[in-house]
Amino acid sequence: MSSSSTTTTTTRLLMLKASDGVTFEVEEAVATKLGAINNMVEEEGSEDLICLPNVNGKFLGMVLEWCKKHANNNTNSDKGNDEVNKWWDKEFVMDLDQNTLYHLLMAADYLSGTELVDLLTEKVASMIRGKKVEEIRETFKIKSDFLPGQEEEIRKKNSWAFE
Amino acid sequence: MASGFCGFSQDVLEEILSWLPPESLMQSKLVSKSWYALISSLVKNPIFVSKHLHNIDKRIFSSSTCIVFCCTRPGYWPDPRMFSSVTISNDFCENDRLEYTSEYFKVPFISSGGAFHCNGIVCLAGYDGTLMLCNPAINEYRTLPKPFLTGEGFFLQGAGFGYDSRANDYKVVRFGFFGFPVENIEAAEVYSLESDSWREIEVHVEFGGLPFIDRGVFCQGVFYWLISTNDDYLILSFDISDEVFHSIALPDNLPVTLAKEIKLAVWNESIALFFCLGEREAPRFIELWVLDDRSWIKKLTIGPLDGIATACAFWKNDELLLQETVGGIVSYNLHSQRLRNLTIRGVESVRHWECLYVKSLVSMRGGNQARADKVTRKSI
Repeated sequence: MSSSSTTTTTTRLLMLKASDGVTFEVEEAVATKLGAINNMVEEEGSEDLICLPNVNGKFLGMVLEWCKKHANNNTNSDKGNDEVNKWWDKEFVMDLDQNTLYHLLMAADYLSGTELVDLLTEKVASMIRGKKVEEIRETFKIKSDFLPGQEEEIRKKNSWAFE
Repeated sequence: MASGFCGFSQDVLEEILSWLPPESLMQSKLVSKSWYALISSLVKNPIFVSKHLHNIDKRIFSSSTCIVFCCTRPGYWPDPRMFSSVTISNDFCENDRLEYTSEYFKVPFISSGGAFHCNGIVCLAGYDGTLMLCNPAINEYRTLPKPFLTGEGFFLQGAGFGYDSRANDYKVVRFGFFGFPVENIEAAEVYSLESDSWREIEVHVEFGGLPFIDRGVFCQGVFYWLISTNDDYLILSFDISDEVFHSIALPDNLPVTLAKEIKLAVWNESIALFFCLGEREAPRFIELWVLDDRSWIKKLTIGPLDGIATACAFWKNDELLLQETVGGIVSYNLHSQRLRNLTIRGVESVRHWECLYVKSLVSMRGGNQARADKVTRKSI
């Protein structure tokens, strides 16, 4: 996925390069929503190609799509922004499979996209809330390492939480 | 990063956990030893607790609003009162149906002085001056030291509980007078959770006549109580940080004849006033006034509404709780003007609404903190 924006001539464009060599041309105002890119631009300027060795083209593309949408929503209408963003955010993560969700979260975390990390961690949390312990272990492929009896003891100690 | 989980760093795992409601968080301790250790330390970490509290408002999945009511139930004597909660899901708000669950709200006693809520902590007050703070979501209870202003000869007029963001402290304020005749509030005191102690504070507000004071509301660090004196109505305010009382006049020429026609509320983070017009049995109109920089503005008039006794409070900026004359509760949408019923199971009638409530991890740290696994319910 490659993107170009030619709406205004005054907007500066950044060139980003993912780990697999895929490059993206993005408006500076959009890309600097990501803390990591903002820091790089401040430190090294925006002339050179920005290399991002820890994120591949698929997920960098998705992160940038999110940034672009939020940047657009925030300039297009001044009222009800929050609601529009919330609605769009919900749609954005609605049908992500677990694998994509995890990799996207790691990419967002690496790029310091705080708001996107919020959205994705909340989505992961929604897979935990209200679930039984056994279900959580299964979902996240975690093995219990409690000794026999330990689990029961904790359950008893916190009985009010397990009613 | 020790707590490896699907390749996430501990920072990311902490972010994930900060979106979980307290009961889910407690249950998740049992996932593994590293989760147990991490969650046990996080719930004691003030930075995490504060992040968790702020995330409650930011939620876009499974967000909900919890409303606590004081209800009566059939067949219980001598005290048929109970707290009941209604949790309304915000996920389906566009729909006609109101998705909600109702349940018994677990607190140690039903207080006579009303319940005040702030950031997940509920403050309960008994007739005899007993005060208790509790956070039902983390099963924490704490009885406060005895206030100065109690005993025979002291008449409590008003109280409130809230968070002082400037001092990062939770405070209780109580005020009243000693014996008759009385023309004013004569004494006031403030409890600070940080110091776990009470101290008396000065009051200089003139009323003229015996003031009757209703339950207050808390908005942007200020308490507001509605006061009816012998021949007038006004609002008493108390800034939780400055600890100073002020009086505020009602809108000019508001034709109030009975105290129950007016009620304070919080709307869009401003202090608002309901004025209910019309006879009890007739269709009613409700005017909504908002205090904007010391002047009142009439925002809207709702109605005519049949079978409505009074307005209770906003549970969202466009959803208003109304109490029916027959004892039920309905939610009114300001935009669609639609009324939706809230039925609370196992309840005879709703006496009044108590508070909006959130499940937080905020602990009543320090002092004589007492944890109890089973607290017996009693009425005092």
